[in-house]
Amino acid sequence: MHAPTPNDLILDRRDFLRRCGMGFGGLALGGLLTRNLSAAPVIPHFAPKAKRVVHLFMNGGPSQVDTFDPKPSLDKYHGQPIPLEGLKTERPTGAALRSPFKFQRYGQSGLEISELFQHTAKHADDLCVIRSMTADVPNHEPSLMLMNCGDGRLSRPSLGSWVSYGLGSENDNLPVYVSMCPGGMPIKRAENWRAAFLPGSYQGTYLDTSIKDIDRMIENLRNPNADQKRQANQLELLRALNQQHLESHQHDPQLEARIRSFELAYRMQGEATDAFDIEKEPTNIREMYGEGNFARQCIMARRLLERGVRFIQLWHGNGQPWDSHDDIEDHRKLAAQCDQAIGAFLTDLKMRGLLEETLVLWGGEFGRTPVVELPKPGSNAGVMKGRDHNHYGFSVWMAGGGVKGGHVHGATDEFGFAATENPMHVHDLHATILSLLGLDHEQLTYHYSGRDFRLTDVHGKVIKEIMA
Amino acid sequence: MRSSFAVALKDISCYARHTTMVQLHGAIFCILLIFVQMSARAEEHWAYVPPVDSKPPAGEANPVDAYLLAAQKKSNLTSAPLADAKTWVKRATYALTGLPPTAEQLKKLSDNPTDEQWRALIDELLAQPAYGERWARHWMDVARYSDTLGYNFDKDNRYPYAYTYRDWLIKAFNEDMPYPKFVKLQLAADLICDQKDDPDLAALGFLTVGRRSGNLETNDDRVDVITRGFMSTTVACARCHDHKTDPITTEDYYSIYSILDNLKVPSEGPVIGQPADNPDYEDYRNKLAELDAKNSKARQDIIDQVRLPETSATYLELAWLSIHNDWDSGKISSEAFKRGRFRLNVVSLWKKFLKEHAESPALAAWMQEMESTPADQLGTTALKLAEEWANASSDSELGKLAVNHACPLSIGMDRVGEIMDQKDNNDNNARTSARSKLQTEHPGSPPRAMVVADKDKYSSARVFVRGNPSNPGEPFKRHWLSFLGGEPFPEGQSPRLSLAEKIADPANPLTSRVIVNRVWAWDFGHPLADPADFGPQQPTPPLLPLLDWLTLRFDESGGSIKELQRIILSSKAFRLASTGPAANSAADEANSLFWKWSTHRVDFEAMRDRLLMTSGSLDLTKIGGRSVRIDKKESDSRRSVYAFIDRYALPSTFISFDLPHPDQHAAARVETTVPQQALYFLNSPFVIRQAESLANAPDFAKIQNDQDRITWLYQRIFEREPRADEKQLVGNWISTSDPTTRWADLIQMLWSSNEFHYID
Repeated sequence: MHAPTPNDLILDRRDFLRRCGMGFGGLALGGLLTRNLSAAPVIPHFAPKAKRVVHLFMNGGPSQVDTFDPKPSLDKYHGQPIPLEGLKTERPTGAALRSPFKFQRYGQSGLEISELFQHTAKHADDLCVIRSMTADVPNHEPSLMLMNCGDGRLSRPSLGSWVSYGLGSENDNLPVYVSMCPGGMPIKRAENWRAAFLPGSYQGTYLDTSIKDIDRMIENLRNPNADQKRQANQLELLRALNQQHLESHQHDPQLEARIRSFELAYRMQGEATDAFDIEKEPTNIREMYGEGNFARQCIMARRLLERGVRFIQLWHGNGQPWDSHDDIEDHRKLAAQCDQAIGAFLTDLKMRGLLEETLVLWGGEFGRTPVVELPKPGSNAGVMKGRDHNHYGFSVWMAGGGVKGGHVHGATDEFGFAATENPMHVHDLHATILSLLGLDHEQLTYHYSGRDFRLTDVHGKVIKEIMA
Repeated sequence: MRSSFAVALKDISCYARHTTMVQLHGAIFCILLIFVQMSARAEEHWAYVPPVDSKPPAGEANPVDAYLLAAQKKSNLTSAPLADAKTWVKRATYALTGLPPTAEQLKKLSDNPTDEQWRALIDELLAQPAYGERWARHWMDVARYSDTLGYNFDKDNRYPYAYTYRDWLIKAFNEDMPYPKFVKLQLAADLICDQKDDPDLAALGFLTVGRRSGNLETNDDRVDVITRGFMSTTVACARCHDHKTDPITTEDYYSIYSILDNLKVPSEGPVIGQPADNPDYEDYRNKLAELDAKNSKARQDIIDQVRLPETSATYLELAWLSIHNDWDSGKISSEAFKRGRFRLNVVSLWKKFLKEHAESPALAAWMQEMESTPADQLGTTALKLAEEWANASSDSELGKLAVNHACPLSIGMDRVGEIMDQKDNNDNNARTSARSKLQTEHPGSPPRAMVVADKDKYSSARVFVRGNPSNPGEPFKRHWLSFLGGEPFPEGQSPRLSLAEKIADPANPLTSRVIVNRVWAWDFGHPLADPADFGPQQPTPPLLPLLDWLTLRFDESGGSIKELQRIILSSKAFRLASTGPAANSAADEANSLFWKWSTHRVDFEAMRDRLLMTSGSLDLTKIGGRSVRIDKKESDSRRSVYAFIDRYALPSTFISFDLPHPDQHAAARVETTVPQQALYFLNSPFVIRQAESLANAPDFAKIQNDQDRITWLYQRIFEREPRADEKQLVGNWISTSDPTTRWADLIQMLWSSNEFHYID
């Protein structure tokens, strides 16, 4: 990123404000030359394939051998130790545990997907399944931080924050980055969508989607007096007062920016409330998605995407629901909570012509072991039907946004434990996502504490093989 | 100077260090060039040489103005005229106390706008306790203050005593503690204070209120806050490799790291208040004793299970079986689990111990006996040994084995952690959380300092190659920063104290400059030099002569921040109008030469305090004390500096209003303008209830006439008379608005308006 020249700044002021999505704040236009310009977002480096991202986050770590990575060898070896060495797991693990779920081929591509995701599977020809994902440690917290923020330990901005910073907002009346989770938060809570040293305006806006009352979902969205006329009356006065003040202050752009923020806030009240109001959806659409919190979230997400929200995370639920240490059968119930909605979501996006420019990503912070977890007092229920964490190899899939449909990238070993072909580290995934958005992961930087930072730090390569 | 060539070179070097041997030869060449450049830079870099004294140029009485005038002249700038006296007053009160001015203060100065009167006002403000509260908050940004340690899974993550660090900061600023002392106490108060209950021990909160996330990261956080906090130097960049642009080596990093690695943090810091005065103290003591008794019992139960013959027998049997059948830990776990609540670690320790002492006669005999015992009677044989062992005299063979450190029977209360399993840990966590809750919340809980101490024996310093602790280099003699001399820390004194002395030493070219620059920035709204990084990436600031002059006077005063404030604030520069000659904009739009006042927005704390002050809710008399959740209406009387800061779950209000995230040091705050801030003013329960409160205030409610009410509100909220056109505008609005709500609604809009948020 070069130091900006005055020419970079010769823009219509309104245009500039708009492009920066209000996030750059009260910097006087001329003051940008010597103020910290790292706060100014960039425009795409090259032509994007995707304009927005939805991350369907299966927190807790869904098992790949039970969902998107079939391993017949597990049937063969069920109950026997597997001949793999050196793969240390978080907890003691034992013999092979076969998948209780049947796999089937779908679509023209013949992609193999388990019975858990039959609705999703209808879109097999749109899915790009990456079976060779790798992370660094088999623990939730560092893996969540890695998947969401590019670093397992240090306080770094989240992927959504980087994207918001990089691309700005298409609609100032809504938050640019939204993180939805029904009934609470995932482990590590707001750290998963943190802005860290980026300006706070790039922090994800958290919504508890189990709350049915829409305007309670975003803090201060709802006017406690619930009287629109009254507020409109107030704002008229405010406008007048601010206008007078502005005129006596040489139309300082900072003041203009703040005036505009009230207009945006006013519109956000209406628009956000409208966006989250899924009651407005026709019955057939709501039925297509089904019941439950995840379905509601998906509908909301689609409405937000239509209105220009840049980055949306849809978490499965509070805590770590997919963390089936005790009984892999639990995956059945979990998939039932989201599969129909995911299938409907993809159908819906396609119907509206949104899928092409929306990158959908499905996955968790890691996968699970093909071998059974052994009893550990205080840690698990002491039965032998579940799987431990696995960062050596796991599956995610992407759809839309310029990825190859009906495609499998990479592979794990015979048992589905470690990635063996074309391993794709989380850093590579990040580099690739940014690339699909038209951003060069090495150029999207922010200067802080003496150096330029980026999401991928000194890692990551763009994996072109998955791009259409 | 960072030429683009140097940048390119750096990029190549950077890239080279992370790629393969193939580019190594190119990398070596580049590295050599960098080396040459870097060592050349170190000597000439403006911040690494001592401040250069100079005579203030002619033309202005106040040296600050003199230097500015000279710089402005060079750039063909003419400075703006002085602002009106009321504006000076507002700037001073917000800068020094973070509060709006009083009517008296405004009147005094507008009646008599002389330098003398102005200096008197500055002195008056410096003497107010509110000054310490304001400036403590500035330093809290530097110190990454938080009331919680960060992520702690499901355990209570609060620091019950972080507030004592804040109290200490308030006191330090109010007392105008000499800066070198301010620095040294925050690094080594335990090594400086004689009394073990000295209130200055709370200064160590600087080190201890940071994020805790494992030993490595905690130490790294402390390296960073020390070096960026006091010296604007990014030593933390040298954790895995030498610094890419600055002359900072990994040895520099690990010299400091190794000092921090030799800290021990006591589980309980010393009490520094007067607990006996507190009527709730007795109840607190009782409740604490109850919790401690529970904790002791839980731990004793674990030890008893190991030692009492009945259960010891089971462990011995399991251990024998694990040796005989060569069980791995997974198998041991499940077998132990089958017998009931038997701990893997105990079995493992027994397994190891029995194997190591297999030759010992009593054990050898027993193990042989176990060999020939039928499977269903192993327990009985084990019980025999267990009973014998329990009754053995201390000089017998078994008695001696029992006190062997490796024998599970030797484990007492201090080591019970070694054998606790996951469930024990979960239970222990719950107990710890209960204790923490009591300490944090009980009114009788006395203030304690969050101290550190040195370990008894200092381990040597080693570089972790590539930052990897599994890859320690050879021991080396820890030393002061290499580019500032690099002297090894002397023997016979704690290296931590030596580090503190080196940082606080006036001969250190960075420390005083850094604080002078911070004070300037916090007064003016923007700095003389970029506070984030005083390394070679920052070119010579145009106002270096001024910075150096102020720094030297600061040193001469013994590091008096209040004296520095007097010099800075008494200048004309601080009192200039916010608009100046249009011609200046071409040369210096950003006002880097301070030819006018840069209008800027008040920060979150000053904003909230101003609102509460004008609503009448703020209580300025209670200085210090525990943190409060400021979203609760009970906290409406407290200044914003006392807000409970949870770094793990930072409330969105703070984020929206640009409170820097306290995961790390913040050199300066950003200033963003986002709709969420506006929503706060339109819809937050806080603003609405305060508006209603003011609208119902007796002094206001008794005014009958609308125009008089408007005037009253303007004086109260904006410290001025409304203009005629404003009276008309607002008057019309009032008369056409709902009578039951209009005054509160008006107040809310006055608070929302730009005039309320921007200091002219």
